[in-house]
Formats: sequence, C-alpha cells, structure tokens
Amino acid sequence: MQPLLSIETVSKHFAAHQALRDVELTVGAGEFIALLGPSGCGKTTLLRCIAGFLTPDAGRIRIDGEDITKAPPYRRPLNTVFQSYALFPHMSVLDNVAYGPRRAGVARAEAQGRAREALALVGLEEMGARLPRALSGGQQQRVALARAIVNRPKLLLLDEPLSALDLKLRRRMQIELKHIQEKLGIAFIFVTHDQEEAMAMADRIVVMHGGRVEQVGTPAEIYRAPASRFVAEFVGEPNLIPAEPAGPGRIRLAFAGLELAAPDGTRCAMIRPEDVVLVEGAAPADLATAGGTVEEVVAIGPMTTLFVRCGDVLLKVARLGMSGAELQPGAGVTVGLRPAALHLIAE
Amino acid sequence: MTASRTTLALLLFAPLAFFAAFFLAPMAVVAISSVTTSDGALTAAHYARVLLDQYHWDVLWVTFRIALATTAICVLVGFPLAWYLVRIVRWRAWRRACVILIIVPLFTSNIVRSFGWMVLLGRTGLVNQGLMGLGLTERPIRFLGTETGILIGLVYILVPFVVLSVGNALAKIDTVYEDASADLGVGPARTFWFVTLPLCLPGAISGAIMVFALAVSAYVTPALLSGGQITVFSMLIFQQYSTVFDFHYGAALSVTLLMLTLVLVSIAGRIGDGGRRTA
Amino acid sequence: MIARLLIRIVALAAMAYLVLPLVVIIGASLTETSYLAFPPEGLTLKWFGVLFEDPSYVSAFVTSTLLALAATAVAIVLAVPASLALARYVFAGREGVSALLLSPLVLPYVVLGAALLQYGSAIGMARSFEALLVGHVIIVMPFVLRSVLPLLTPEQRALEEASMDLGAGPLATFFLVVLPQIRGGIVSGGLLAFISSWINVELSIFNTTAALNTIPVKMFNYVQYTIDPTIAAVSAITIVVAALVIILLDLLMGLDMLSEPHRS
Repeated sequence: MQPLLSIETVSKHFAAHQALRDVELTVGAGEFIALLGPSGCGKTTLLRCIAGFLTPDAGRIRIDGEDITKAPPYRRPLNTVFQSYALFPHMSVLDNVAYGPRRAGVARAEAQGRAREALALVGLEEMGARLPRALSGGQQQRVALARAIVNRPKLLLLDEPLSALDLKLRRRMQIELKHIQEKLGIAFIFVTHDQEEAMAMADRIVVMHGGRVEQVGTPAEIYRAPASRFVAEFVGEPNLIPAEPAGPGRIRLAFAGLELAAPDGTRCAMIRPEDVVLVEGAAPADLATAGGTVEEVVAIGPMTTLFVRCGDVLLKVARLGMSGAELQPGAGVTVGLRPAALHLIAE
Repeated sequence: MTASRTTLALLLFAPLAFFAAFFLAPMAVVAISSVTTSDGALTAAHYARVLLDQYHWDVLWVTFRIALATTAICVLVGFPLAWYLVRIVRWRAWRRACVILIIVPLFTSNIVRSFGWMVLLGRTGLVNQGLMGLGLTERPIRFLGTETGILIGLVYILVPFVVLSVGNALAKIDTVYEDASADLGVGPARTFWFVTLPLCLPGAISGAIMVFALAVSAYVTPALLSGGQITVFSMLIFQQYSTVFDFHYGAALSVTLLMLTLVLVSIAGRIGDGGRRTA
Repeated sequence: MIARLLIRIVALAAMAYLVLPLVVIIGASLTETSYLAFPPEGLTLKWFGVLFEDPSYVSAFVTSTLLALAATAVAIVLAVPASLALARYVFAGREGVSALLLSPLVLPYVVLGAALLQYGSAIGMARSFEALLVGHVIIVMPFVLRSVLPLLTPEQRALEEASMDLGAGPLATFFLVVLPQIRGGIVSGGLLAFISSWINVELSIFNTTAALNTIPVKMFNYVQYTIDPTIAAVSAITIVVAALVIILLDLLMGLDMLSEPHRS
C-alpha cells in the first residue's frame, strides 16, 4: 500500500549548520507519529520542510505519491498546529476557525457551520465570538487545533503544541488529542522533546539526533531495544554496563563477571532500572547476582530509586512505591538481573 | 512613605516648575489673549473673525487639501518602501544604509530640505531639465509657487515618518501568522489582504494621522515653496505676530491650530494604542 | 513576483527621491560659478571660505551651537529626575505629568514660538538668548525623557535595591548604579535633543533679531530673497553634521529598527 507521506533522503543546512542529514521516513494513513529529540536535533526543521515553510536542499517529500518537495505551503493537503498557536489576533475565534474554508471560497454560512462543528469537537462551541486573547492558554491550544482540522486534512503537523501548558493540563490534553486523532482518523506528526509525551501518545516514535534519524519504532521497541546509547539515554533511565571482548563472539560485562555471546563491537549492555532487583535469601537460578553498597536513596512516592555501587558500576534499581526507602546509604545489598533482559548496544 | 513623597517632590519640582513657567504660562497667555480685547475685556470677536471670514475658510481649505494630498502620497510611497526594507531586503548593511538615508533628512533642517527642492524645481532646475530631456514637456513646468511644489516638498519631509511607523509595525508582526495563513491554504496576495494588512493597519493609520497633523501645521516648507503665492494656516499666525502685531487675533488663530492638532494626535494615539493591545 | 518587483521599483524610486535634494545641495555648494549650478561647474571649496569670513554667519553659527548645547544640558538636568519620578513612583496625576512633559513633541512649534514671544514681551524677556533657550529646552526635553525612561526597568530597580541594601545612600546609588545604566539613553537622547534644537526654525524665528540669529533662521530669511552657492554651502554643512550625528547614534545604539521580522 502506498504510504500517506514519504520522506526520501531529505537534507537541509543553514549556513554551516547541517540541520537534516539524509532523513528517511514513511507515515501511513491515520498513524500517530512522534518526532522526538533534544532541541536542535532537526525535528522542527523536518516539520517545517513537510509543511512547506522550508525547502530541503536535497531529497523528496511525497504525499499520496505526489511530489510536493517544492510546492508552497498553501498548496499542500496538510495543516499545522503552531507552537505559539498563531491565532490571528484581529479575528474572533469563529473567524479564525472559519478562515481556511472562507478563503477557499466556501460560503460564509457553510464555513461558519463547519467552524462551529470543529469548535464543538474541541469543546469550545460557546467561545466563537471571543477574541483569542480573551482565552486561556489551554483554550487557545484547542482553537488552534480546531482551525487546523476544520478542513479535514489527511495529515496534521503539531509543533510542540503542549509545551506552553502546565503539567496537569498537558497530561489531560495528551489524552484528549489522542482521542480526537483516533476519532478523525487523521495522521498526526507530533514534535516533542518530552519522551514521556511521545511514549504516551504515539503509535511510532522517530528519535532524532544531530539532524539524523537515530531510530524509528513503537514506544515499546524504542524503550526496550534502543538502537544506540543516545536513544537509551534520551528515552527513560538506562543502566549501561560496560563490556569488554572475551574471545571471538563473546563479551564480559563489568557485573558479576557475566559472559555473553555478542556481535563484535558490542561496547555495553543496557538494562532498565525496573529490571534490576534486590535479592534477599537464595537467588533464583536464572538470576545473575552481585553484592553492592547503597549510595543513595531517592523516594518520590510512586517509585523509589536506589543507587547501588557494584564494583565499578553504579546501578539504578527502581522499586514500586516506597519499598526500599528505609535503606540507608552504606547498607550492603545483593542485586540481581536476568541476562535475557540485557540489551546489547554496539555504539 | 513620607520620605518617598519628599523624594518624589524633589525629583519633580524643577521639571514641573520649568514647564509651568515657560510652557503652561505662555500657552495660558495666548489662550487668554485670544478671548480678550487689548483693554482686557472678554470677547469672542477674534474667533468670530477667524470663523466668519471667507478668506480664512479659503486658507483652511487650501491647508487641508494640501495636508490630505500629502498624507495620501506619503502612505502610497512610504508603505512600499517600509515593506521593501522590512520584508524584501536581505542584506543587512544595505537596509542599515537605507534607514540612515531615511533619517538624515529628518535630522536636517526643513529649510535645507525645502531649499534643495527650490533648486530642483526651478525653471531651469534638474526636474524641468529631466522632463524636457525626456520630451515629456516642451516648456518648463512651473512648480514653485504652486500647490504641486508645496506638495512635493511636504511629502519629502514627511515620508520618513510613514516609513518608520509602518516599518516598525511590520517588523513587529510575527511571521508565524502569515505561515498559519499559508498553511490553511491561502496564497500570498490574500494572506497580505486578510492577515498582514489588518495587523499593521493601526501603525499605518496613526503614522498617517501624525503626518496629517504635521502637514496642517507646517510653516517653513510652504513658506519657501509657495513663493508668496499660496497662504497656509501657519503663515497667517506668523503674519499676525511678525508684521501685523495683532497678538489677540494671532492668539485665536494659534488656539485654533493647536486644538486641531491635539484632536488629531489624540486620535492617532488612541488608534496606535488599540493596535498595541490587539497585537 | 510581479508585485515584489513593483514594490522594489517604488521603494528604490522613493529612496532616490529622499536622497536627491541632499545630493543636489552638496553638489551645488562645490560649484565655481557665482550662481547655483547642478551638476556643479568646476569644483571648489571657496563658498565655505566665504561663509567663515562672514561675521554674521560665524556669529549665527556660534549662537546656534551654544543654544543647542545649553538647551540639551538643561533638558538633561530636568529630564533625568523627571524620568526617575515617572519610572519609580506611583502617584496621582502620573499620567498627566508624563503627557505634559511629552506634549511638546506633537505641538505645532509655530504656536509655541508665538506664545513665548507674547509671554516674553509681557515679562521683559522677548527676543533674547534666554527666550530662545527656554523654548528650546521645552521642545528638546521630551527626546531625553523618551530615551531614558525605557532604561529604568524593574530589573534595574532590583540593582538599586541591592545597592541600598549594601549600604549605599540614595546619592551614591544614583551615581554608581543608576547613572551608568541610563548613560546610553542620556547620550542618544541628548544627541537627538541637540540636533532638534540646532535645526529649529519655527520656534526660534519669533525671538531672533538681526544681531541674535541662529543658522536655520538666518538661512530661512536669506533664501526667501536670494539663492546662491553660499546658502548651499551652509546647507551642506548642516547635512554633514546631521549625517555624522546619525552615524554616531547608529554606532551607539544601533538604528537597525526595521530589522528582520520577528520569527517564533
């Protein structure tokens, strides 16, 4: 099946700065994609290339097979929710939402009808007569969304749309956005630097770094099997255990002298803190264990993290609730992990 | 609290005393003499003279006509120039040079600027030479002593105000609004009409009203370029004070001009303010 | 694309229109002929020499410069405390005071000039340097006020409080903390004030005499009857002075007011 959007070896540079390097990506109809990365990684540049505000130096962008690489923004079948919302300050909320259909030649009554429908979808049907500046940040965000979906595009681009909202509102909007997306069946490309946001919403996450795509995968793939040390560290908290070669096709980890079969060039093994356990009494046979000393205890309520030194490695051990919070720094403990849970990273 | 009141009084005493003595008091003298006779009796005769004399209406009409035309041409010339400088010029050094060239005339005396046009617009001046050289006219066109001449000079002096006020308004418009419009499927021309223009209109209108107020009260340029053929309102005031020595009548004329200017400027201020609040 | 080209053409024509008279004046001041000619016939600086040998020009030049300097100095001394009061205190009538002090910016100078002549005659101050000076102070003070006020920000206030907290008195705080912060505003406002005073005709013309004349008023009276290369030479000097002041201002505070549109 033909993808909705395909990005083929797109590159872009500003003066000496290479913002995008050979970016490849395909997006299917109705998919929710998160572009995730630190600031300056190229995610916003990529979004602006898709929207048409920037033209790539090289590569192609196709929508439904049609090459739109050089098409101006106003001839592209997609819409954008801007980071600053960009609501026209001189128009009412209703006029803002009706702007697209009106300028496309739809009669006034009909355009306003569609605008009201879109406003109802985001729960703001009562606010049509107000000016944007009379609305709260969260409401402005919804108006921006209504304005962008009023024409029912196949693809919606969202440039860090929730970054201006406070944490609680943000969590609520994440769920709401996801529901709206599922209801309309529009593909979303959602730019964010917040890994939790990406994990919570996206069908697939595209992790970007230094203008390159580091990894594309479902949230579970990205979290469990990061393709690089960068991805492992950017998404969630990793334990990275250094490895050294131990004969052809084998490595030895700096934890419990563990030896594993591994491809050449493997430099470390990653394990998430929740997969490391404290062992009391006899250890199950499938667990590799080592003694260590507690260095620090951070209890935040739903989760407690212990920092345990085992030789050269400082391991993070995550436990649910306040369990383990009573341990004092200096206490001796035994930590264990299942070798099968280790993920090897070449680097 | 009392200490800060004392400091406040100390800080404001000198400037306010100075303004009271040399600004408010002189203005009060003018206002009083505009409604009194030389004996000190109250009278409305001076205003009646201003308002009932056909000659004054003619002068006012000429003044307004020139000011209106000046404003219109200033906007027509100034808007594209502001647009060019803010949106088209990419080379910073050139824009900087242009801004300096726009401000230099503002910092040069009205006389010098008008004098330049006296030279250019004369019978054998460069403008007539050019027009004749291009075959656009056979005989030199008379500019000096005509409204056209005054218009050319006033536009020259006031166009920088429009460029600066429109330019500032344009530079403040976040281009994300134009991006949003394009994103919603609207081409550049209609984006300009429905988004950019409404957003910079308050700046442009308040600039235009300032230009109109300055054109109405202009003295030097019309005086030099009219060659004594055309009289505008501020010349009447000057005549009363310098040759006729009728201070009472001159005062009535002054107050009329002042009121007119203040009304225009406060309208301009309100529009400019409203624009800032909406933007 | 066509619209863009059209804008470009109008803009460049407008720039030419703005520059032309200045070029003509400077060109005409260099002519060897005794009548005005542009393009100049031959090149000479003799008309500038003629100026400096004419005592009435020299005295007008001195009067203008002294007047502008004095007006600027007095304006700074009055405007700095006023801006401190306006920026640092909330008091009844604050808006009114600020409107009053800024109002000369929009006042027709002809009206103020006439008022000062009439008032001056009443108190025995008409047609004197003092009469000129007070008028010029009134019209140039807003320039200083307007460039100093924006620098007295709340962040700046925190610095003042820190200074007081560290034991400096109000005067020491003013000279050590406030003044260095607003120096730029005083200098740029002062330059604007100086130049506005130096080029003024409408206000000065009421209070000048043949013996006490400023350069612009002398020129104004002169060009109404005669046009010759000397007047072009005086004009050229004022243009060069203006250009120098602007370049100075540009270096001090950057006149790049129309820079790139804002992008978010």
